[in-house]
Amino acid sequence: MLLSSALGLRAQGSISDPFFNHGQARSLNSRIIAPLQPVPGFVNQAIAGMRVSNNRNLVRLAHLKDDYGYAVWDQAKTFTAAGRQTALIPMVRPEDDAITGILVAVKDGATFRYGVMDTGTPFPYASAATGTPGMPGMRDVLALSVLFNRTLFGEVDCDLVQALRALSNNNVRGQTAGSPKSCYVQTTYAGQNCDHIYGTYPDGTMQYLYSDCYDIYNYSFICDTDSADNDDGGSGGGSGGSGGGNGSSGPGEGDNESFCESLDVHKCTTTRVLSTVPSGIHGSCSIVCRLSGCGFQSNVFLQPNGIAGCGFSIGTGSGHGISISLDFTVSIQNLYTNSYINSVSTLDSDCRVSSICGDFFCSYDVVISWIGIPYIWERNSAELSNICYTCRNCQ
Amino acid sequence: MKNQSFFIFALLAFILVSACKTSENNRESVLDAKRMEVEALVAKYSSENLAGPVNWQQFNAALKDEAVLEQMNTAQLEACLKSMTAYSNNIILENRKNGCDQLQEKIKSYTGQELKEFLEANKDLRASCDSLNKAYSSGFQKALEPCKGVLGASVERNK
Repeated sequence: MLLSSALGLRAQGSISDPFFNHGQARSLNSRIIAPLQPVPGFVNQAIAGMRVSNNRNLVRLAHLKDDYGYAVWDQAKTFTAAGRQTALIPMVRPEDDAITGILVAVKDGATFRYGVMDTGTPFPYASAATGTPGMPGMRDVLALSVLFNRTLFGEVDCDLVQALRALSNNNVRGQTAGSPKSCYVQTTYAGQNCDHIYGTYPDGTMQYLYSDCYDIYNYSFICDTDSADNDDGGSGGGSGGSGGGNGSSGPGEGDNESFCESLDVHKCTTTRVLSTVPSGIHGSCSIVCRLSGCGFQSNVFLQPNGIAGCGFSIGTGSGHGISISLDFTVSIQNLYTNSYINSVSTLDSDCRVSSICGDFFCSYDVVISWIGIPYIWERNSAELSNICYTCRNCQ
Repeated sequence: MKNQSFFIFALLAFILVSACKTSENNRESVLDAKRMEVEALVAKYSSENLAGPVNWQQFNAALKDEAVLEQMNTAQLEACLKSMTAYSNNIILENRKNGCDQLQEKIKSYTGQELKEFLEANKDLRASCDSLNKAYSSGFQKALEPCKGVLGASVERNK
């Protein structure tokens, strides 16, 4: 649903609404377990942008609150997508224990554009077509919803994970469907808990009235492939029963292990091209950043594009006839890197798969040396926000 | 008669060897002079090069091949050194002048979330430094142009 298309006329909100106070808004939902954090600077700007007082904004705010509840500002994720600064802020209702959607604030020049994405309508940008580089795709929305739910409430929504896994692992921003997976919560009975209710008589004495008893279940997060060797043979059926029902017999342990092994998480790394420098007339060379491991370690290096190397030479003759030449060698110098983890979210406790997300910044000089003389070729810096990859056994 | 022929042959051989030695000595002295000229040029421009000192070990290794030295056009070499030094120094000086160096130094003093906030607070200066550097780096091929003639009719190729 596009916030910008909200036409509701229930203008109950005001610009001094607690909606804009990150502490107050959070305190409305006592179920959130994520520790309160400082609100990122860019998110404060986004809040200020929403507070601009006019009737249209008041109507939008009322509609937003009705449909999605309150923003958990301090848990926002910020990054730059397609050259625009963006903040993604989870929305919760006071009484719920799952997010209702994600408020999107995109800075477009001097103005902010706002939208809400949820799993029903994942593309909130009125001004950018789907498929634009950097724009969230279905997989991003699902993954973010899972991560926000995990961070805020410690819960994994199996329906979302199932939908997430139905999308290809290799096409993070694409819409290509992969092989479907089933995923659900297995519940085991853990006993009974009773609240004993007492009444107080006018003389102050207490009298036992009744006991409010309820069953306690432990939840296990079970995922399985739809492969033909499933125990329940065939379509894999069992979709996300969200708690409750006992006696559901999930797939055998062996199935779960094979599913875990099938997850493509062994790399535990991601690489990004920071810049490209032409290294002569026949080729180019990329400066690449590799982030890896449970500690979000960074490594910046030169990588030739194609068969040509990163250096080049000048020489007499051409092709195989070159008789003498002088080489230019390329190197990275004055490298400064800063990388840190923003979040580690357990996507699947059975498979011990975690999503590690963090920010990275680096600056460097590209230096060429010729007959021992160094020259600065290029001075550059790069910033990557909320880079994520999956690892096993990080916690 | 036999002795006379042998004497003439030995004399000719001696003259030939002497001539070769003289020619070799001449060639060596020409190359030595050229090497000194090249060294002087490199030292001159190195003193102006803000990117750092010359690695003389690498310099000697590059000019170890006498054919390179022989082929080297010193006028073209000077044009190359001048052009590349100017290009590299321009980037360094413009970064200093526009506060980009100071920005980099400050960036290095921050870590984690603090850095994120600092980057956010200085995004305008960062953007202007980025565009400055991009503008300069696009001129690299032009700066390289005189270097292509250092070995005479040279061509450029990837390594």
